[in-house]
Amino acid sequence: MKIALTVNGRKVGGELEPRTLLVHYIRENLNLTGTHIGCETSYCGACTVIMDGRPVKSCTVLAVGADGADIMTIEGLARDGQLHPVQEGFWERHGLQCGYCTPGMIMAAVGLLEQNNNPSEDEIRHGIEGNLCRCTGYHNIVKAIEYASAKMRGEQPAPAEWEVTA
Amino acid sequence: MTTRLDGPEKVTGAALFPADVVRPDFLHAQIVFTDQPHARLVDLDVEPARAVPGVVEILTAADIPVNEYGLVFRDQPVLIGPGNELTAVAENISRWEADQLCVVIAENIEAARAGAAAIKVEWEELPILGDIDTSLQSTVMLHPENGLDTNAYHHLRIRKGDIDAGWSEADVVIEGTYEVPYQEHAFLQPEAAISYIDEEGRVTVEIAGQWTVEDQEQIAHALDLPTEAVRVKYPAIGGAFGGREDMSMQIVLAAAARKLAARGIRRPIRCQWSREESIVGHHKRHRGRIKARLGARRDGKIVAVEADCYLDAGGYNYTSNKVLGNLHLCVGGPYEIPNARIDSYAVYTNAVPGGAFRGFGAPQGAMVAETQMNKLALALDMDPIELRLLNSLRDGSMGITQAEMPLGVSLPFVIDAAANAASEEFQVGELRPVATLPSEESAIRRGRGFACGYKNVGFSFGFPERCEAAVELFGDDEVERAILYHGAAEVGQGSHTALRQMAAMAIGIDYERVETVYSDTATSGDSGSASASRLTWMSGNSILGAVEEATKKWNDGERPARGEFRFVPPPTQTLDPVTGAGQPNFAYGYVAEVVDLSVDIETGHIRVDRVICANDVGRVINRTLVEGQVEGAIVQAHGYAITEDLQVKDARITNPRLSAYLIPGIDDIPAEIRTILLEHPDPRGPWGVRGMAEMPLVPYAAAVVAALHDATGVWFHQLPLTPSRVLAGLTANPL
Amino acid sequence: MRFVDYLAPTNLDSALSAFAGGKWTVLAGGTDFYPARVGHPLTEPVLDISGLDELRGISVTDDAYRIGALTRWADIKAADLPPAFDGLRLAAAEVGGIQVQNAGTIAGNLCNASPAADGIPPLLTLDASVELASQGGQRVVPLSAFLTGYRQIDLQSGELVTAVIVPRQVEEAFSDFQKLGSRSYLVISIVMVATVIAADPEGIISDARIAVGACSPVALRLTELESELRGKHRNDRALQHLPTRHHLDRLAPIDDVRATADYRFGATLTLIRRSLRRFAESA
Repeated sequence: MKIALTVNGRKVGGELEPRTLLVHYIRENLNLTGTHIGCETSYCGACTVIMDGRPVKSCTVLAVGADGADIMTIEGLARDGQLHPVQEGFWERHGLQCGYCTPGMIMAAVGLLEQNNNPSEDEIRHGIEGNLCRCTGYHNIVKAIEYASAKMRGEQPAPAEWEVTA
Repeated sequence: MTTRLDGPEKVTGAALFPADVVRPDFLHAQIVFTDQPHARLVDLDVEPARAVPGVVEILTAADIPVNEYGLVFRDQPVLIGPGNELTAVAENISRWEADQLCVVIAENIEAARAGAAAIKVEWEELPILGDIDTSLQSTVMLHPENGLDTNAYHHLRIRKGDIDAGWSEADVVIEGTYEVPYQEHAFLQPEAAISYIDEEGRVTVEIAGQWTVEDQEQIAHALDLPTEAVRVKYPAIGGAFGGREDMSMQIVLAAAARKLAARGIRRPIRCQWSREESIVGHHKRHRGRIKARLGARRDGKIVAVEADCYLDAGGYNYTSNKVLGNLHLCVGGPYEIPNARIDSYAVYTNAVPGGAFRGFGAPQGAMVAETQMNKLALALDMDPIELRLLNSLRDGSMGITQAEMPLGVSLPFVIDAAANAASEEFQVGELRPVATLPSEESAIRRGRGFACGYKNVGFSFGFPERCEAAVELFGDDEVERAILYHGAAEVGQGSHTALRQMAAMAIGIDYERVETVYSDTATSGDSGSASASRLTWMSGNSILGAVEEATKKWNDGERPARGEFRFVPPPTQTLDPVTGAGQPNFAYGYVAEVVDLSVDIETGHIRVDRVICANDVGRVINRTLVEGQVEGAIVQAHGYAITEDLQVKDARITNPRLSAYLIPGIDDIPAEIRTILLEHPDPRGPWGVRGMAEMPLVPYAAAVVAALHDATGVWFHQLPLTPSRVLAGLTANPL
Repeated sequence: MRFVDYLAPTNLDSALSAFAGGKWTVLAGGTDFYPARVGHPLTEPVLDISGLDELRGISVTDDAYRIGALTRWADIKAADLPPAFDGLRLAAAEVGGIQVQNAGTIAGNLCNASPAADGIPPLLTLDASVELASQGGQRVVPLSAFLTGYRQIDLQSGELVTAVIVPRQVEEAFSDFQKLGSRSYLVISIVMVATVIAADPEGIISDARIAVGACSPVALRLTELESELRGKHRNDRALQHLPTRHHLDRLAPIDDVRATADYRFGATLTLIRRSLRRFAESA
C-alpha cells in the first residue's frame, strides 16, 4: 500500500509492503541507519524515534501505521552542521562508549526535554527509563542530559572535564 | 581537551555498525542452529530449501575445507554435518543448542528464513550432559578425540608449601561452597557482519570483533587459505566485553562469499542475529562451583588455602582453559599464602560454552576469596581492612604460583585509598523506592562491605604476547604530522582516542596532527585483542617502539619516516602440572571497593547507595575515558551480583530475551559511584600505565555479599542476589 | 511471497463492517504485537484501528468515566482524574517505558490479557467494565467477566473493544498500586497489588477493593479480605495483622524465571500490608 510521511522534515513515502516495521523502513528504505535495532521486542530502546512529538520505539510501529506522521530520527537533529544540545551533551559529558544505544538515548532525551525543559535528576531518569545501555553505567548519560537542559535554557554549562595528561 | 575521536559520528547516527551498511545488491544469510544440545546428525536434506523461491545457495559442512575452529584449540566444527574428515573432532555431532548446521543465502531475509524452515533434518538424540555434575558422573565423553576418560578435560594444580602443616598451624578455619552464575554480555549491538571478495581478491569480513588478526587466522585455517588471502575489517563495534572474542559468523560468512564467488556470483552477503540468536548463540561468563577452605592464625596471618574449582566449559573450550587459569590464580586472593592446595577443572557439558567476559575468571575467584576473607575477619573479630593489609601481596612477595610478583604491587595502596574514602562521613540519600514499591524505613537494613582484588594484564601462561604498531612522520625540519597504523579494536572503551593521544605524546606533537588508520588487516598489524585490560598497556609500548624506529629514520633523513615495531613483553610460563609453579603473568592491576547498600528485608530488594572504587591505573592517559570504564564495569558487576539471572534447563537457555534477562536499567544502578584513580606507575607500562578496565568488576560481588551480611547477618554463597533468592535466604536464617 | 492484508479504517463503522467480514488480528498501539511475533514472518491479516480517533480520550458522564479504548497510557498518566484513579495512573507510569506508554493503549493491555498486565489490577479495583461493539450492536461486560483465562477474553467474532467504563462510585477513595519486579523499569511484574479503599468521615471503611496480578492466570480481587476490611476503622489495630496467608488461597502463583511461587505469596502479603498502612496514614 501507499504511504506518505515526513521524516526529518523531508516528505517521503511510496509503495510499501504492509508488514514493514517503521524501523526497517527508516533503515532500509530511507538508509537512515542511525536508528538501531537492539532487541526487536520493545525493551532496549535503541530504535527510539520521535513520532508526532512523542518518543516511540520504531520496532513496535508498522510503517503503514506511520502514514501521515511526522518523524524525527537521530539524523534530523543537527542543523547546518551544528549539533543539537543533547548531541553535544552526550559528546561533552562522555555519555556514550560503544555508541549503539546512543541515538535512541538521545531521541528519548529530546522527547523529555521538549516536555520539560528543566528536569530534575529524577525526572531525567524517568525520561530515559525505556532505554538500556551496557557500557556507560548511566551516570554520564544523566550528566549529558543535564548539560543539554542547561544549554537549551540559555545557560552555559560548565566546561567539559576531559583531561589529557601529556 | 581531548574528547572522544568517535564522538561526533556516534551522536549523529553517522557511525556505521556492521548492520548499518546498506547495499542494493546484498544477499541475505540465515544461520541455522542445530537446536540440539547433544545429538548425532543422521540425515540432512537441504534440497527443499533450494526449492524455496529466492534461495540462492546453501552452505553445509562439506563446504568448509577444514571444518574446525577454536581460539585456543580447535575442538569445534564450523558446521555440523558430514565434512571433509580432516578434523579430530567428530563433525556430525551437535554438542550445543547453538551449534551451526548450515547457512541459507537468499535474495532477501524472508526467503532465507523460509529456506531455513524448509530444511529437513533427522537427529539421533544422545544423552544430554546438562551440568557439571551430570557430566562428571557420565561415561559419555563429549570429546573422545582428546583421549581422556573424563569430561573434566583441563585440570590445574597448585601445591605450595606443606598444606598439612598449614592446617595444624591454623587457629581459625573458614569453609564455604560457592555457586557462581552465568553472565551474558548483552552488548547492545547483536552480532552482524557482511562478507565479500574485495578488489584485491581477498575474502573479506566486516564484523564487530576484538582482534582482527585472530579472526583472520581462524577464517584462514578453516578455509585452508593463506592468511593474506583473508581480510578482516572492523566497522563501529557495539560493545564487546569479551563476547566478541570468539567466532560467531566470521567463518561461515567468509565461506559463503567464497562459494558464491566460485559460482561467479560476486555480491556482498549480510547476516544479522536477533537478540535471541545472540544470547543463545555466543558464549557466557562461566558458571561454576567452588569449594574453599581458608586457615589463619589468631593474629590474622593466613597459613593455608585449599580450593576445588569447577567451571562449566559447555560444549567447546573457547577460552575456558585460560579462564580457569585465571580463576586458579585468583581464588586464593591477592595475599601471601605459605601453604596451598588448589585443584581447578574445566568440564565439558552440553550447555552454552563459557568464555571470555570482562574479568576472565577473576570475578569468580574474588567472589570466593574475598567472601572467605570477610568471614575470616568476622571470626577473628578483626577489621577486614587490617586483615587484608596484614596479608597483602607486596613488592618482593611470592605469588600463589611460587614466582615473585611482577614489581609494582600496589594492593596496599588501593586498600588504604578505598578505606580512607569510606571512613569519611557518608549520608545515605533519601530512600528511593524500587519502581512503585514503597520503601518502608522499618523494613530497611543497611550495611557496608569491603573487597579487593587483582587481575593479570595481558595474556598469560606462556602465550606469545605481542602488539604491533606502525608510525609515519611527515614534514621537513620539524615533524608536521604523523600517521598511526594500528589494529586495536575500538569497542567503546575509547582506545582509538587513547592510542592517538599516546602517539602524540610519543612523537611530541599536538594530538590534532596525528592521523590514525585502524582495525583493518589490510593496513594494520597484529594488535592482539581488545581484552585482558591489555590494550592501552600493550599498544602504548608498541607505539613508543614504532616512534623510536621512525625517529631513527627521521634523523637519518628519511621523509616520510616510517617506523614499525612489534612489542613483546617479558615471557610468561605455563604452570607446572604438579605444583603449579611458574610465572604466569608480566603485569597485574589492583583494585579495592567499598559498597554501602540498603536491603528491604520484606521484599529482598537491594539498593546500592554508594560504591567507592580505588583502582590503580598507573598513569592516567585520559581521565574521562578511564572513569567511564570504572562506572561501566561497576554497573556490569552490579548486574552480575544482583539482577542478571540466565537460566539454563536441560542445556537450553530459557530466557534469551532482554525482557527476562535483566541487565541493570537507569534506576537500578548504584546511586553514587566514587572513583579514586591511583597513579603508582607500572614499571613496565608505557608512561607507567597499568591495565584497568576489568578491575572494578572483580571485587564488586564479594563487597555486595559482605554488605548484605553486615545488614542482615546472613551470608549468601550464590549469585545473583535476586529478590527471590535474598528473601529465601533471610527466611531460612531469621534475623 | 504472500502480501499481508492490511486495513486501517478511519471510523468505527467502517472498522466494524470490515471486522464482520473476516478474520483479522486487531492492532492498536502495537507495543505487544510485533514483539510477540519477532523472527516469524508476519502473515496474518491486520486491522489497524489506531486511526479511530473517536476511541481516544477520557470523558465523564453523570454516572461513569469513559476511557476510550485507544487512550494511551501516557494520556492516562497525565489525566486529571479523581483520587480513586491514583492506582491506575501509577500503573500507567509502569507500563513498559516512556515510549511504550506513548503508544500502548488501555484496550490493548486488556485484550492481550497477560496475567502480568499492569493495567488490569487497578481497573478491577475500579469495578471497570468493557464496552464492546459489533455490527450487531453493543454490550457492556464487567472486566472480571471479560477476562476468562490465561490470555483469553470474552470477545465474540466481529466485536471490538470501544471503551473501558468506570462507574462513579468512590471517586474520593484512597487508591494505590504497587508493582514489584527485579528491575525498576522495563520489567514484567513478579507481583502487583492494586487497592481502592473508601472510608466514611468517621474513618470507617465503607468499601475495600484489593486486586492481585501476576499470581494467577487472571488477576483476582481478594473478596474475602475486602469484606473483612469493610466496617473496620482505618486505625483499627486489626488492620496491622491483615492480610494473612489464607486470604491468598485463590491465588495460584507459579515458579518461573522471575521468582518462585513462595516468594510471590510472601511478597503479595507484604505489598498489601504496605498499602493498608498507606491507607491508614492517608487520612
